[in-house]
Amino acid sequence: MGERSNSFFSVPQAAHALLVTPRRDEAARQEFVRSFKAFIQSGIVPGVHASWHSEVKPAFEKRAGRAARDRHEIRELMVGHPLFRTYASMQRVSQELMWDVVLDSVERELPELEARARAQRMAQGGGSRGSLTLDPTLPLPRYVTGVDIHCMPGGYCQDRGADDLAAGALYDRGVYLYALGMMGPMNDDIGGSGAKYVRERYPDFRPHRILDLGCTVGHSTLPFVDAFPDAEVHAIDVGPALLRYAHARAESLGKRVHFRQADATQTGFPDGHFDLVVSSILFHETSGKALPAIMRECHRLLAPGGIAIHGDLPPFWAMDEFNQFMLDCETYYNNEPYWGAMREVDQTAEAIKAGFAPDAIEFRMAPSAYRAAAGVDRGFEAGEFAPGNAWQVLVTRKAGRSAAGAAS
Amino acid sequence: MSDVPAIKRSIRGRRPKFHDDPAIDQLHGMMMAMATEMSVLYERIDTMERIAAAKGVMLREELEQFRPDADAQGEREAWRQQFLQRLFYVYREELDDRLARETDAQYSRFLQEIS
Repeated sequence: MGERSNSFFSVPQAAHALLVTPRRDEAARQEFVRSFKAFIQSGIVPGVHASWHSEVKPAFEKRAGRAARDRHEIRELMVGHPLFRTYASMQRVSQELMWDVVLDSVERELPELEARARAQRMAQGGGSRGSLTLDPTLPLPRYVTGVDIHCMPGGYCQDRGADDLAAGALYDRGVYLYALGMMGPMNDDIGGSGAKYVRERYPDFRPHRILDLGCTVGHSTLPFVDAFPDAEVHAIDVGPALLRYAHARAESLGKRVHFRQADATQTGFPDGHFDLVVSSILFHETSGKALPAIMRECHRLLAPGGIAIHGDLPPFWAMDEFNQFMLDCETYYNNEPYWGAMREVDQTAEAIKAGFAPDAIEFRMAPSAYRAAAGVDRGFEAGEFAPGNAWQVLVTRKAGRSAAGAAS
Repeated sequence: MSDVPAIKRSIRGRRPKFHDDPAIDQLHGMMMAMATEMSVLYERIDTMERIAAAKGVMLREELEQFRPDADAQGEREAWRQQFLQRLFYVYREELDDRLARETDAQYSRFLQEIS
């Protein structure tokens, strides 16, 4: 990907009515953790790369008379290396500290945020724009409840009662710090890049109904509201407090979205109900069983000629073995159990199995809308979340003539 | 309020091990928690200097030009030595043990004697 750039730029998170406003010391802690995460990338990761390439790798090749087979073997060779241990330990610490320092703001401010969300609901007479439908009987998937994904305390499904917004408030601020601002001031670059990709690739496409799967706080949903202002936009997730927050957040920003608590493998919407189905960094947080089921559900949900687009980080085959190993650290150290396995899935083959025609499937990089607009040029550096200048997207089109005007 | 459960602070999922001695992993966490607080203090001082400057008090420049007199220098040196002694108290204790030729066996005998 050309010259690697490790520079980070500081973009303040855009304020909105539901976002925590850290007090001075809280903000200093949060900024420090963000700086710490950036430093790990610029100050420690290059040393880990160098240790491999100039020390561990040549020593192994001399000893074994061959190159390391795969990322698993590299892991065996590197896991005891002092610098790697420090890197992995510090990365974990930075993640734990990140949530912990955001929790200070969330604990302090949550009653106000909840009061604000209540007042907003009252003022709009129960949702004059979008809506919120929760289903307390929904079985929660094991891959979401088994561990707290990316070490977020309480996980996606923490629910402390009818007004609870904690999981959403924590996620919204935490993810901004995690992404080092690389997802833009609204954390919306994955959705924004997907929406831009669809608009540019299919300029005549006018979806009537859009569904976002695994929307969390709706940060990736809202760019689709902007890109297709005439569409009816729906978004689902399994976490009730996330959805309450997402709804309040969208309303406060004047965006009309219908949020519903549902499982992406079995959404409950009728066949052919949507012209566009989207997901943003959802796949790697599901499971080997759920991913194909989600693809089948997308095929069922799409109207003839409808489009599905799923954004995530690149698969392993798109990078060398050492970068695979570094990227795979998330699996072992950040409570991301499906992170690595998902990157070995042949998504194109899965889409075919789900019913999409081979010539109606694209698996490619969608340029980052935000980083292009901000003039930021970055190479892909595994060991961090910020994925260079583009997101990996799987785009699948259902056979048939589209009422939404997608060229086929 | 009281019937609403507290927001969770702990992370579900086994914490990975990085070093052979788990104490090193724990020390990494404590060290960076301390570094966070140092950063908070630095930022507070920086804020004070900037607010003072905005009010016409050039605190930063004055701090830069400040020359402590002999008394102040002596007090500072005493403070630093005390600080270092506290920072290295485990080494001091180890040294004292050696000087007193204290051993684990002696301590065990002492325990038995007392009980």
